[in-house]
Amino acid sequence: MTFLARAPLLPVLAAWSFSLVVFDLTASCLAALAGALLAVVGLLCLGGMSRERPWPALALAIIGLSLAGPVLFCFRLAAPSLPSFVSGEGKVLLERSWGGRRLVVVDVSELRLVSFVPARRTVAAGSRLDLEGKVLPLRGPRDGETFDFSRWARARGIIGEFSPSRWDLLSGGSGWHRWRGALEERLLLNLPPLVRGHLLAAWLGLRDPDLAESHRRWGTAHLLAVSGFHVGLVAAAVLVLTGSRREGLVLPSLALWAYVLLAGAAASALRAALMIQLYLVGRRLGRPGGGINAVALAGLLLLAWRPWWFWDVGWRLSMTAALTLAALPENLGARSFLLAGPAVWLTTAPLSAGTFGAVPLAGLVLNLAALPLFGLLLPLASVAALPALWGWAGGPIVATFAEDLFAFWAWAADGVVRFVPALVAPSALLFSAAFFVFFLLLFRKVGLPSPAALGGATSLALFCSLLS
Amino acid sequence: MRDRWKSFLFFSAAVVCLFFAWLLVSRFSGRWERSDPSVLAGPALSLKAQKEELPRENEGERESLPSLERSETPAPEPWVVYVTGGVRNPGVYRVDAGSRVYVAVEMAGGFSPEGDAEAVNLAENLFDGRHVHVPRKGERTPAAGLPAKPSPRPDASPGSQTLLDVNGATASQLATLPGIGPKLSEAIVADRESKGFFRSVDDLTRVRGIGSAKLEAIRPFLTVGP
Repeated sequence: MTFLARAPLLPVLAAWSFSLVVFDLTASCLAALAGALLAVVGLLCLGGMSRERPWPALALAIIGLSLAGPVLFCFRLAAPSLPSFVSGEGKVLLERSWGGRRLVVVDVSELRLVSFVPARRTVAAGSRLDLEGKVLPLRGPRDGETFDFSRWARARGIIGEFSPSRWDLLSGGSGWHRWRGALEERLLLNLPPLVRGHLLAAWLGLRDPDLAESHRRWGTAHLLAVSGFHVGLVAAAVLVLTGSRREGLVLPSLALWAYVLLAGAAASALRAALMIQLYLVGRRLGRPGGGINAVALAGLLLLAWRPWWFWDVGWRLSMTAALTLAALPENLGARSFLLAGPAVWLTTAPLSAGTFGAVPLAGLVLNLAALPLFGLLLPLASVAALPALWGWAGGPIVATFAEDLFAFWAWAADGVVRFVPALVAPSALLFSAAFFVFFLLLFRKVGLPSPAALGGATSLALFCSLLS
Repeated sequence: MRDRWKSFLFFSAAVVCLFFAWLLVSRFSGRWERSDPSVLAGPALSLKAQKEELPRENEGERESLPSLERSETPAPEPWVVYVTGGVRNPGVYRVDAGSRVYVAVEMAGGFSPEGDAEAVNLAENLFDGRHVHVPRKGERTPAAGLPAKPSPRPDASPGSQTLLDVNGATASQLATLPGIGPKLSEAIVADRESKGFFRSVDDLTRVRGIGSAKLEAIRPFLTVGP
């Protein structure tokens, strides 16, 4: 099987991503098109080094699809036209803390707007409001900050900021949001701290600050972000419960998307759900696709929907991790399960270090055990928490059992951190090593011969390190 | 032999593509002329300071400005606050610098059933080392309930517990602030009505008569509501 047949969408993803980098730097559609063309042709040339028959028609189709991306982005990334004033009934879609204030996202007059309100004026998600006020453009990054709020917001469909002059509550949270709020309240009130923190993250996508700090120290912060790991666990559980019937598509799909919505529909969760959905459809049709191609397709669909995802750290971490996992050699058997954690740690280290400042070296060791262990711990804790959540007698005792397991993990992880206290700061060496391993795994997986894979990985690692 | 030659050609072509791609992102900043890049394209990172002054129709272009610069200022140390009284889990908590009282109350598990939510100003500013006491229902407390034994705030005068919302305060309320007379308070209200709400306390400097010194003098007494 040729390089193109194994992962035809990988060059397209590379082209789209690079065109966004170029567009970001130059604000030029022509430059973005040129960037996409160079990226896709470069990768196809590397693919041409395999000794198999070239597929000119497929190559042309890939180039065409690659060039469609920048054209689409030039339209999608244009500034939205905003009214200066809106008035009417609005629905709160999201409410969360934002620094010292509360961030509230409302749908009003067919616009999705964000407002920052003091805690005393905040309202629950799902509430209906009678609104009136000015609409302002979204804020860009502040001086000295890398975080660009406007991109964060646009990736979530928000197009402007709302400065209300009227903000009257018509009705409280309802429907899905009410269920979510009730579940959050039960989790907060009925479970011991470690179980509560892990289940808040896994079920609702909410982070307990203390637990997040601990996982950051251990280098396992990815376990608290709803990702392919969590979505995969849910999908596996549903498939097991439904007897893993081949024709079973509707029920697992519904469970999958219900979970993603419940968990807050973060970029990583959406990417994973799309991938698993593709797998389920492929399985139903009797044509399960390749892992790399499925990841690439999920990434492309998200970028086509909202190109601003490209600048979302969650999207980048998720895509890098998923591509790394999909690129692990198949012939390693059970060892690949052990290698998965450290491999993902290394390939995502530049992103993590670039975002958080430094990553703990202990994560390299801890991730050997973290993925398999939490693959068991999270389902176990979810089941153990149910009696306490339902208020059954003895429920807290059962939950304490799961609490002890998490406490044991915390004790062991702290021990490893004490033994390996070093932090890995962003550096050219880290970036080069991570990019090299990432591209080498990918190129070997898609069938490039060793010299081509080595040459390609070295060139691209150098290129990406220079860009970073 | 022929295969090797073919592979070499393909690899060379790939490297050439990479080279041109690098050239594109490192040398091309939206136009080819040898001049400073425009404010809207290219790695003109220092131009971020001017973004707030760009007219609204340039908002989309503002979005496309690069954000490659890395913050070199270290993240502020978290504050440590002590929460007692009508909360579920009283104790010492670390909160992000700049947080308000509600953050501390949330970290302490929220109000307990006997906690008096009305007696606490959840929007009040916190500061490092603060003791936040949430009164229980019926508990006799000082005004606003916080703190029971007031922790002196370095930058605020004693007793300044209630913050004034610059977006909701009347001219007469604003006139009670130090250094703000009736004329200036009316100017603040007039500015608010003509130009829209203040996004932050710093926005007050857009009112003629309020400079940085005056702003710092009244900052501890102000908050910004929607």
